[in-house]
Amino acid sequence: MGRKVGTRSRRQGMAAIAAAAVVLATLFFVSFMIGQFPVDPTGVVSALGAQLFGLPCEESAMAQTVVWKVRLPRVCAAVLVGAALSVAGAVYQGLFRNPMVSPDILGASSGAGFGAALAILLSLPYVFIQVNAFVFGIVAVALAYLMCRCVSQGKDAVLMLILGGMIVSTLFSSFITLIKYVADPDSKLPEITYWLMGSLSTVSLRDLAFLLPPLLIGLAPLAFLRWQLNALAFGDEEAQAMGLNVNRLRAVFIFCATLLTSASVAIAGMIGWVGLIIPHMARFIVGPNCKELIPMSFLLGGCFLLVVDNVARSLFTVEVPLGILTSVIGAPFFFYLLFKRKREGA
Amino acid sequence: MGGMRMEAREVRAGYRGRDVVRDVSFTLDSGEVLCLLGPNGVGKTTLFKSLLGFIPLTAGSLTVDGRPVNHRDRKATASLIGYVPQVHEPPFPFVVHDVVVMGSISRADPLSGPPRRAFEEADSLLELLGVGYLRDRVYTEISGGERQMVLIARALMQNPSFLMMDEPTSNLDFGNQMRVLAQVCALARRGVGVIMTSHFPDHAFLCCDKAAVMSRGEPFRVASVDEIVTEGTLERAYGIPVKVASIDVPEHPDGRVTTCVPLLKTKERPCPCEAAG
Repeated sequence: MGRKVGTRSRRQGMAAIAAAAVVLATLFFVSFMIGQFPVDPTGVVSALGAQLFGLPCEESAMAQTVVWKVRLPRVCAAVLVGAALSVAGAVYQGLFRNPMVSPDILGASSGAGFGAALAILLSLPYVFIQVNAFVFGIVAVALAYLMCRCVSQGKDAVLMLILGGMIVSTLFSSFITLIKYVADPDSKLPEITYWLMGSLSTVSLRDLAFLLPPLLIGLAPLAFLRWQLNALAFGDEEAQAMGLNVNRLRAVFIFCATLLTSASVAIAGMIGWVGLIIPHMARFIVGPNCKELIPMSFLLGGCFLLVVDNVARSLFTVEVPLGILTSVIGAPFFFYLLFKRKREGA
Repeated sequence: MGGMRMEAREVRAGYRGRDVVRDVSFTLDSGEVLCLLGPNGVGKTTLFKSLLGFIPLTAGSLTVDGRPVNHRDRKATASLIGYVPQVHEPPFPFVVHDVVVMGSISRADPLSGPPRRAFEEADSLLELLGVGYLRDRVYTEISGGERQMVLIARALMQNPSFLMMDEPTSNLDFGNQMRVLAQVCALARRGVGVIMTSHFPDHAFLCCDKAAVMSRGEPFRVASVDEIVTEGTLERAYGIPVKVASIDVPEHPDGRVTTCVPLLKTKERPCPCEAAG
C-alpha cells in the first residue's frame, strides 16, 4: 500500500514535468505573435512552414522576416538561456548544498562580463565580444577551482571553492569597473553598460549557432549523471561512503554548469536572478530529487525568460533591459510563492 | 553472508603529519559489534574517518579477509563497509524513500540511475527496521530517532559486510537510543560486523561483543567488553570516579545485567564541586 503512494508522487512529478513542457511549447508559439509588429497564428505557421519546408506562403515579406529572422532566434535564445541558467543554478545549489547559491557563485558571470567589456573597450569585432565573454567566464571558474585545489587538500573543498569564487568574482568585478572608468564615456561606456544589463534584442541565427554546442555539451552529462547529485547534497564524506568518486563527480558538474553559464552570459549578458529562483520554484513543484528537479528547472527557466523577454520587447517602444526585468517580475512572484507555501504549510 | 574478518594492523592516522591515532590494531568478525569509547578529542572520529578512507592512513593496513581495502576504489569499498553518520539535517527536504534509495548508488549503473529493484529493496529495509511508515515522509521533518533509522537503512542498501556507526545514539532520547541499539543487535545477528562509537559505556554492556576505550597515552587495546570496560580504564580515560556493578535482573535471559555509574560524590570527596576540579 505504501508503495502506491510513492509511485503516485513520482508519477505526479512526471505529470508536472509534462505539463511544464506543454506550457513551454505554448508560450514558444505565442511568443512569435507578440511584439511591435503583430503576426496572427496562421501567419506564424505559414511563415515558419515556408522557411522550414519551402511551403507556399501568402504572408507579406515583412511578416516572414519578422518571424524567421527576428523572432525565431530571439525566442529560441530566451528559452535556451533561461533553461541553461536555471539548470546551472540547480546544479550549483545541489553541489554546494546551499539553496542561496546562484550560477555566478564561482565567478562565471563576472569573468564573462569582464571578457565582454574588454572586447568592447578594444573595439574588437562583434563576434569577439561573445567569444571573449565565454572564454573569460570559464577562465574565472577555472581559477576558483585551482585555488580550491591548492588550498583544500581534500578537506573543506566546498567552502574553499566558494571562497575561491568570491575572490575571482571580486577581482573581475573590479576589472570591469576599471574598464568602465577608462572607457570613452560617449561611445564605449554606454555600450559596456548596456551589454552588462543583459539583452536578447540583437540575437541572430548565427548567435544561436554559437550558443548551441556549449549548451549541448553542458547538458548531456547532466542529463545522465543528475541523480548522483542527490548524494552530494548529503556531504562529501557520506557521498564517498556511498561509493562515489566525489572529486571527479564535482569537477564534471562544475565543468557542465560553467559551460551553461558562460555560454548564456556570452549571448545575453548578465541576467541575474533566473538561476537563483527558478530552481526554488522547481523544487516547490517536484521536490528536491534531481531526477525531476533538473528537467523541471530547464522547462521553468525557459518559460520564465521567454515571458520576461516578451514583456521586455512589447511593454514600451524602447526595450527594457532583461537583467532589470527578471528582478522586477521575478522578485514579487518569488515572494508570492514563499507566501503561498507558508500558508499551505501552516 | 559468510563469515568475514576485518583486520586493522598498526594503523596510524592524523592531519598534517601529526598522528592523532597511533598503533591501532583489532580484528572484527561478521556478526560482532565493537564499541569505541573514549573522551572527546581522543581521536575516535579521526580513527573512523581513516578506516572509512576519508583521510589517508599514515601507516598500517586495513584488510578484509586478508585483502587490503582499497579506498581509492569507492564502489568496492562501499560494498564492504557502510557508513552511518551522526544524525544531521541536509539542506534540501528529500523524501525518506529517496534518501534510502541513494544508498544503492554504488550498485547502480552510473548513467541510468538506481534500478527498479532498488526501490523495492528500500521499502523492505524500512519495514525491517520497523519504520516502513516513514517512506513518504520528508526526511527533514521526522524525528532524530527516525532519521537514524533512515540512515541505517541507507547504509544497508549498499549491502555491506561491515557497518561503521558514528555515535548512533547521539541526540536521541532514552527510548530511541535503545531502539537504535536493538537494531544494532539485530544487524549483528544477521551477520553484519558493526563498529560504533558511543559516549555511554553502558551501551557496550548492552549490545557489544568487543570494546576499546581510547585514552591519551595508553595503548589501543580491543578485547571483550567485560575485560575492557572496567572501573580502572574508565577512570583513567575520563578522569572521573566510576563504579561498574552487576545487578540481578530476573527478567533478563542472563539473569544479570552489568552497568556502569559515574560517581558525582564519593566518601573522599562528598561535594561534587571538588570532583569537577
